Amino acid sequence: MKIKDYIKDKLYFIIIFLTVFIFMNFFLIFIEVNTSIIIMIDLSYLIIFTSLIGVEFFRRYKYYNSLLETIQELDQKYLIFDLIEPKDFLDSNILNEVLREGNISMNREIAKYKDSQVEYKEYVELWVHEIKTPLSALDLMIENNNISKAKNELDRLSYYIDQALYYARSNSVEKDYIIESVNLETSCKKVIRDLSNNFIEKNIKIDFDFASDDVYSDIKWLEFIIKQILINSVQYSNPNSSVTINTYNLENSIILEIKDQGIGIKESDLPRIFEKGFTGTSGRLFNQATGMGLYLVKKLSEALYIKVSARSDEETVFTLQIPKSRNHFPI
Amino acid sequence: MYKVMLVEDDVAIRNELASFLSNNGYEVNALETFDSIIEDILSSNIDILLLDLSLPNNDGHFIAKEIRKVSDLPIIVVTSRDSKMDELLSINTGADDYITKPYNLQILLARMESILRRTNKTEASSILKIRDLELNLEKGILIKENHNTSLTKNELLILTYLINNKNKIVTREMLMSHLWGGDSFIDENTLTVNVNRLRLKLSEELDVSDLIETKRGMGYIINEN
Repeated sequence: MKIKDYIKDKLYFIIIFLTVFIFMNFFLIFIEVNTSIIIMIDLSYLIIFTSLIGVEFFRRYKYYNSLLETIQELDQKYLIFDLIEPKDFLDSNILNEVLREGNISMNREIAKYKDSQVEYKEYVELWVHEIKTPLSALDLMIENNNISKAKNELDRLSYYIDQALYYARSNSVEKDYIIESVNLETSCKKVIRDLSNNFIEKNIKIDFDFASDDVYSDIKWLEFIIKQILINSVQYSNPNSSVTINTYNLENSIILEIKDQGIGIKESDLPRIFEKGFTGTSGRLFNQATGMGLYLVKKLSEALYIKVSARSDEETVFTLQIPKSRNHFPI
Repeated sequence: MYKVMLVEDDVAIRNELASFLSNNGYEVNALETFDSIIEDILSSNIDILLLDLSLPNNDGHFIAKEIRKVSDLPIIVVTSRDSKMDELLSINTGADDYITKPYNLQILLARMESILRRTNKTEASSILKIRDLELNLEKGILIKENHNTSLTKNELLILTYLINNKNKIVTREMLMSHLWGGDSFIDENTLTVNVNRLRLKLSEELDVSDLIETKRGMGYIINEN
């Protein structure tokens, strides 16, 4: 709050005061009051005026300036409600009261949405759990009757169901993962096994070299992330080519690199590939792209403090930088 | 032939899994009533148990725990619950392995085989016979009379799969799936190289040249006679 703004705000008061002051002086002179009395009256009048304006200014100056400073420093601006304290003048009390009530009502509203989101997530989890039973039955029927075409469709179905599950999990307000020591080789091999049909069908070779320490992450989330990237690599690879996984040890993290020699990502598409719903030029060539896979990769990675990036020239390379200790994670 | 018991309340899965397992050389006993699961399991003479976690009136964890109190019977928990908690509970209550639905069937078979091999140390269980050949799975050697030859991991996986599916055509895709299920992530060329090397070992070291036949455009076959 600046003096200038305050004076501007109180301009009407000053004008009234000055008008009355001038009028009063004319009047006093007109009725021939003794000069010393006029001065006495004028002085008292001025003292009353300045102290009124001044005291009111300083009370507000202190209050509003500390309020403005606090909100500047806050990361979560809405926490201001809990930090302001009423002062000994009326409008601060009214302001506090109003904000407090507004805050309570807003918190109730937020809680309502939180609850409904938790409920929704729980429903999706339950739904995914339920649907796995008929899915397994179908899988077995396909295996027993050797319908390999149907198997591919079933794999796609599972893939989309998994995406829905992790989308619900990634949007959860609550922390939904368990951080533990994860062996990258074991996890990657599990993912590769799960995707064996994709690899075998296009006769894509997989090479890997795991010379790294363990990482700290949620094993299921991490496997989902690696799976999404590998699915893309295989999908955009030419038949009979190869996909390579490499790891590098850094001081506080492990770099996991997934490389393919597929059709690549256009330079102009590259900055947007992790955006929700972005399919890009290559994605649209295959009408299966939903633009959700890499978006989920990014979103889940952020929660696990994994840095994910991509580059594409002769080879397309996705890089995950995964923490090697628990230190990154809030307790 | 190993006896496996299925405890699974979903009828479709139960029937299909039963026929899948019997196609793959197991004698299957599938429970159809779930009133006295523990007694039924303990009174039957089985080698391995596949246990679903969510059963009517009963919790799989409880059943595994009760069985473990009195028996070392190998237990594989198969379930659609994929939470860390369930996995931990299962292993802590004494299950030997934990597989989530929808499961990769090659992996289910591989896990069952490896658990059975570990728990049944008898020679017979780790030896496969075809014609006058003996395949020792433990040592990874192929024996004919007084001669033997040792096989690599891939050769062993290929030969095991062909012998287990003897008299049937095995496609290259099926073989690849089986190898990938055993963590051998090979491509087509490597498969060809491995099969050829296996044939070479058979003919040069054991004087067997007609064991693995090629069915052009279809795959491979091992005939019993």
